[in-house]
Amino acid sequence: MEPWPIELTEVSKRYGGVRALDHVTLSAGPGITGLLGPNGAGKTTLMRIVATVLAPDEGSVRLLGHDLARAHERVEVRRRLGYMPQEPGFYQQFTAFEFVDYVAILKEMKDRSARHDAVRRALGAVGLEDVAHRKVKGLSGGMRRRLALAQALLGDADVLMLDEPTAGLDPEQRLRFRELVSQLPHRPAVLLSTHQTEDITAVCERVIVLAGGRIRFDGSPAALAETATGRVWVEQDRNEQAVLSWRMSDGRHRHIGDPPAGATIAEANIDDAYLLMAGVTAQTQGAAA
Amino acid sequence: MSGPLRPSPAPGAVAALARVEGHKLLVHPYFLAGIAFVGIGSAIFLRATLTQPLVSWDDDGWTVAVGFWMLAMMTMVGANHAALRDRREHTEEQHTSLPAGPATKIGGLLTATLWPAAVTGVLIAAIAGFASTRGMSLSAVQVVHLAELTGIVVLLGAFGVAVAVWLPNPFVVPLVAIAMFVVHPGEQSRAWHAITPFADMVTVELAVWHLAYVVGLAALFGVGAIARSTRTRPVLIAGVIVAGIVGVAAAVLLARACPGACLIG
Repeated sequence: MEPWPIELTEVSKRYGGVRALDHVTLSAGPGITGLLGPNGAGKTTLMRIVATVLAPDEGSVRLLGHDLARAHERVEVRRRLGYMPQEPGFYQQFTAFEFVDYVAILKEMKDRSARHDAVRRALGAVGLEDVAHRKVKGLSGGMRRRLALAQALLGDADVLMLDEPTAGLDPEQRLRFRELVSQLPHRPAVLLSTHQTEDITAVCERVIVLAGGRIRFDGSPAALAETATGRVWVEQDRNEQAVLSWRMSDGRHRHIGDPPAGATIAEANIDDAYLLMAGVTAQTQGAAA
Repeated sequence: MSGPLRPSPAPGAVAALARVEGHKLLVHPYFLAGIAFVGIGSAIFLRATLTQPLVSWDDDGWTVAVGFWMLAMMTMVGANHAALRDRREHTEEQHTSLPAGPATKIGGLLTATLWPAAVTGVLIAAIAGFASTRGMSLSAVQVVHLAELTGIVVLLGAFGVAVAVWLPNPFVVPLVAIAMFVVHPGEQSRAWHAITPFADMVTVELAVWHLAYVVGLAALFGVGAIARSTRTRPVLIAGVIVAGIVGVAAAVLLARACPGACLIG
């Protein structure tokens, strides 16, 4: 049997007294797995561990069948890994082409001509071919975000780690991103960390909700939405019993939580389910504290 | 996992990085400023060869040497600036996830210092060639001294990289550059002469020893920089060998050329 491209077993990570990840076990195969969670949920820590940037305190991580605890296996994995961090850095004085080419060199793409072709393909994939020879310092925020994505896409990575890739992109660029990621021809294992539930609904086959360093949900986006079925209702006025509520454009209030008798139940979506899960987790943690 | 990424530099990646970094060093504002100093120093000397009688390398060539000394200083600051790029631009995290690690990057930067050195060699050859048309041919000792200027560019470039690796602060190397002009340890300024071509090397043999000292010191800084991220057996052996070369060359120079003066001021 083929090993899962991404396998974490009982992974924990602490920063001082704060437990960022608490015995997380998950496996992810080819296709796009979304990682949802509020700020401080442990998403970025998880991404950094899988991207081989950070070592876990406990547990084991295997990528493409390799144990990341072993130095030479980490190097093997890194040749087949693409990583876009949450806050990517850029060489401001380099052109977009030079910047991605530099990463291609560090990815040990040896043949110069093939490497330059790969760089051009990556820049073309994110729509930056026209500004390839413009200095990074002259690119807009959205262009830089796409440049960071281009360096992650280099060399047809088998595992792609994208930490909030659509942050700062305009709606058209987000649509292009979704199209790009969902149509990668070699179907890599993609771990997509985001706050954007629309991105999850649009491209992810599976979604994992992380809160307080633990996995709260693991399933399809539709199954996530179903967890809120019967727990979303609409009323004219705000209901203090709701876990969360907000005023909609038509003046009515949408509530999530335990509906009162006779409430008008609304169709639940992934936003409701996520907010319900995050809200309940926050309440539980607040009560525990 | 955030420690050393691979046991040793990847040779193919080092060569490719050297091409990129070498090009960047040559168009770096600091290096271009150094070229301007070379232009001024050389113009003064060449003008003298055209307008004055009895011009010689020994008496008038110092302006050329000072120009190249400034170029070497600027290469040092430029190489240091390039080596601090990851820290400055916050690219350390994303580069940690790549197979070629810091040792490869440092190897690329060190090799890249050969580009400014090559430019230095070409410029020196052009200036010497022009001077020879004015009847100022070079002695064998002078040829070695001029060749040493090329070595000094590599030496200070490697020093700039090593300082960036061990003391990653952008102010250290510029302060060192200023100190080299301002601070004169001992009664004379000869401490700095230890790495310049003007250290009383009157014979070809001594000049060659001095060249070996300069090149060895450059290699020692290079090995020291790489040893920051990887301390494999080949790196340690290379360190011992180059330290031996530097030690022997320094001992010969101290014993024969300027006992007690050249190297320690």
